[in-house]
Amino acid sequence: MNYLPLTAAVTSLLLLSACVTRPKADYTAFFTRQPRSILVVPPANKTTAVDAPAIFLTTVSAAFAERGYYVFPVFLVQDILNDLGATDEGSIAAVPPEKFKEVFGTDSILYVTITDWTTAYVVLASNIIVGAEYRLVDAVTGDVLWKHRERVVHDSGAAAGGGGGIIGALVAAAVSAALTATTVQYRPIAIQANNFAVSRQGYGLPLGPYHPDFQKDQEQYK
Amino acid sequence: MNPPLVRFLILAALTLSSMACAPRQQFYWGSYEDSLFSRQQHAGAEGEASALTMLASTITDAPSDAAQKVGPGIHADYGYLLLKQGRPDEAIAELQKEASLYPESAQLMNTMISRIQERKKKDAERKPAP
Repeated sequence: MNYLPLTAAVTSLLLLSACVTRPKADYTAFFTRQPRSILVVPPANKTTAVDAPAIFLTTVSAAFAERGYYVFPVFLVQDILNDLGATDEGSIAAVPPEKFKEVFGTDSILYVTITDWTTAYVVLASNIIVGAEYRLVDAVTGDVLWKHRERVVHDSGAAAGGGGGIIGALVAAAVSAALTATTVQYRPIAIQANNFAVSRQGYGLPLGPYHPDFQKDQEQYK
Repeated sequence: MNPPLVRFLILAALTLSSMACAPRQQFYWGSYEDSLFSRQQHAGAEGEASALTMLASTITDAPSDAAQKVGPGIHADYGYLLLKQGRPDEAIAELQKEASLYPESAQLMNTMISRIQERKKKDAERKPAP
């Protein structure tokens, strides 16, 4: 049997699936303001996982800085905000952007809302899902410079048989499900989500002044 | 299609996709984000002490040539932890390094440095003259 047409079709579908049905993002404000520095404020949380924002905050710095930006030390920022009375997501959201400019001297503020932080159990395996909404705001004008949603579904793998047929597999699945919902396993998925978010072709964060290809990537954001 | 060819195509696709995603590191990160995680997992002195050690070795292990700078925030965070450990002079030195490596941080670093110096002055005045 000749599988070539099928293989080709599936492959091209997979390749295309990353690109379909998304409206073009508008980068006009971004390139007008071109920030050099990013202040990541503690994330807001739409999930029931109370520790998600604090863990997420430990996964943002390198992903965004590697695009060529100065990223302020996240815990130092958090402690200063605490001192100023901005201790929860409501009070952080209420701080006007220019106040961040005044206190920290930052060009932009990154607001993250965590939308998914769950383990979805299917019969013989489980998926770890981490999702976030990103909003980069100009610290002087208050304009939104970049908006993005990212959702990573990580297949933690089918339970290994280990003998014992279907019963053995079910027991193994239960054990693996019990083991999945730990911080240790969410954190790498959050790092992956951040790396995906900034580097999506045409939708990511354009390269900044610390990147050797700064201003050479603008074609893909038009 | 014969199996070796299929295997080759899959391998080629995987290689290409991993090449497309391979990160080109602009900065040296060492264990910066792990040090944050350590503080998140162990609040207070314990987490801070291990984070301090991790950041110290990150800074020591960083390549000395200018090709790869220590990542933004690392000297500042290290300085902040030194300050919390009651080592203000070393803290100031680290905050100054951050400001000179990354001018974007200068405003915050200078604010912090002048606060630390004010506090040092007050502490010195409070001490009885020898």
